[in-house]
Amino acid sequence: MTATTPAPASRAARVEAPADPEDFEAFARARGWGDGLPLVPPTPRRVDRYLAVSGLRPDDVVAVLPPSGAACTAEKLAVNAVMAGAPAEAMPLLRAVVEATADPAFELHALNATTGSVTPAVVVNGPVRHRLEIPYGAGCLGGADGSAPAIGRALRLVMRNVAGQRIGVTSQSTFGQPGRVAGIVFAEWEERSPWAPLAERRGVAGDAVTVFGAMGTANICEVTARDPDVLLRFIGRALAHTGANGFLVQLSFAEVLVALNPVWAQLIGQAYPDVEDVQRLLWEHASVPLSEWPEQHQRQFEDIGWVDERGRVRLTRRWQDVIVTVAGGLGGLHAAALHSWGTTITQTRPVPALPTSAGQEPAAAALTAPERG
Amino acid sequence: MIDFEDVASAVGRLSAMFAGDGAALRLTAVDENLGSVELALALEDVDCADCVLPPEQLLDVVNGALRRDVPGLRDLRLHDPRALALATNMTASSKPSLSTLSTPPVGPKDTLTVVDPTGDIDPGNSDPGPDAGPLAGRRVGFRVDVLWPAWDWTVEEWTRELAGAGAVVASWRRAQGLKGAEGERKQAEYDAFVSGADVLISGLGNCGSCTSWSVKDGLAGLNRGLPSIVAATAHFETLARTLAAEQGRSGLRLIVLPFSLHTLSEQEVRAHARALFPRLLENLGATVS
Repeated sequence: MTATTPAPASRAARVEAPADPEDFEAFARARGWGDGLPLVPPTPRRVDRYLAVSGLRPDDVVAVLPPSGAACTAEKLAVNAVMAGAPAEAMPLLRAVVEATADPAFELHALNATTGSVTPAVVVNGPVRHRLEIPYGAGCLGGADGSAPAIGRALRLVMRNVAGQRIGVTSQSTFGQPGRVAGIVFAEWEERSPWAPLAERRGVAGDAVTVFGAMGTANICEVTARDPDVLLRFIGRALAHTGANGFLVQLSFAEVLVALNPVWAQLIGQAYPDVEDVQRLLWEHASVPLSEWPEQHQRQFEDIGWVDERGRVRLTRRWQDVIVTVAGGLGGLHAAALHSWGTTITQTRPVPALPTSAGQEPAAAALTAPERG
Repeated sequence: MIDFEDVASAVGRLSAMFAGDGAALRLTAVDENLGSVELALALEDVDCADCVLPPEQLLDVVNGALRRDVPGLRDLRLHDPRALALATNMTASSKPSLSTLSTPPVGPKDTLTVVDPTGDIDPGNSDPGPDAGPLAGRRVGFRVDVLWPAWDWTVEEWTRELAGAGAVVASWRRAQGLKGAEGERKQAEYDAFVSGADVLISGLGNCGSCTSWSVKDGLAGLNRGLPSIVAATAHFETLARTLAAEQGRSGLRLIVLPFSLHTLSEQEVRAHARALFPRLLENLGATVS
């Protein structure tokens, strides 16, 4: 028989569960806690260890998450991090990501409900990349060893268990995507980038996360270009596929994240030491001639003034909405494109420092009380 | 251990989600010591049984909600008459009429204590808000969007009917996702629009995000005490009800358009809108002379 036991004051409920791993899986799945992959049982001892590393009190509210409107407390974040197999040392990073996704400008309520395949993708900057072994080289978007999949999965479990994102019910995503299981978490290869780190360019130096609403990842391959202008033209045009949400006239804006491999980044950086020039060029090239669209689309673009002086329709409204980062293996030859879902504005947040010792007083950072929207 | 009152309260909230279709969840058995619950889906007042959430999805929704609200729940059984019909027509791999989700029995030596990972949800209330009553001379506000021309056609048809009945009709258009100063200005504009209305009709829920936005904007009226209703197409009805419930207002009125608007011609959409107008009045508790 399973029973709940009284939790200490201000703590989440304790539940008696089967100790056998297979039985625990069945138990957790029946409660809707899991994603189909094995879960680490979130025992109070494990959860407390994660809380100690976070420097937060159990009932500190990290964010209130839609659609459920439930508060993601530090304890709930820790429980889901334990279950996902994320390292305890990732708690400050996870906190930063949850705060970022809860920013109203990220529009999580709509992102969690949409028929689109969007999921929050996380780009990590700063020394925390090394401490947490978040990949930025070969296979960084999937396949490289490290803690990225478990960290991404922790965020997905928070969306499921706290935000209440349930497939076919509160999430109407027609297809979903692999990133909805273990997230999309990778780092920037700052040491190989000719430009300042992405987060620093967005106002946050050092350890930071940049959270982007990604429809998925798309590969862009080019094997002949040696000229940076040819490369930028090629990459930019490849970004502008006509099914991208950025071309939906109903969306007031869109973004696209481009990961340049270090080989191409070096080549381009020599010609364009200011990354904003790279963004502008990619923006110019990320466009489609009006004539390539069906007539009804042509009329729509003309009606809302999206046709530029060249007779082309751009993927994003502003050059700043083309976000450039450097990552990937030294084999080069490929870029990665992450197209945005739409009305989510990319968020960058600092990653709080780890407490100097586990169990010390909670960090001084102010935490807001839950509010209902 | 579970508490009967907790179970009954949770089932009541869940049942309200299906009331729009005429369906209900009935609590048929509770074993407080064993933590088991049996429910039955009542479809006697349902015009279209297939319009209610399919059996497997229904079980998933009910299970998720009850596990959240009744943490000690161990065994859930849901009698769904549609699953029975399905079983009758199946052979070797027949699906049981009794949908169950249970976990293996656990002895005291085989257990460990874990911390519940789920968020605490405000149960809210199921009050649908006031009836609209007679509409002559009342200000009816339509919240429209930039996504669905078919919703504009529907609103045009309903506006004609409402204006003919003496209502004063206005509309306001939401562009999803505006941010910064422009977003704040548009939100203030919408708040003023709602303040100036006596009755609010928000739509259209015809995709995931637009359903979320339509519900959010509909709740702006309901939470101010206005007679309010949200329009959604059939596939997105459950999403709309769930989102309303999770935002503490499970009783939010819905008008369900039983078709997918973006696949029909303008003529077909307008014909459907005219046919649905009496249902709109009924669901709003409105009357016209």
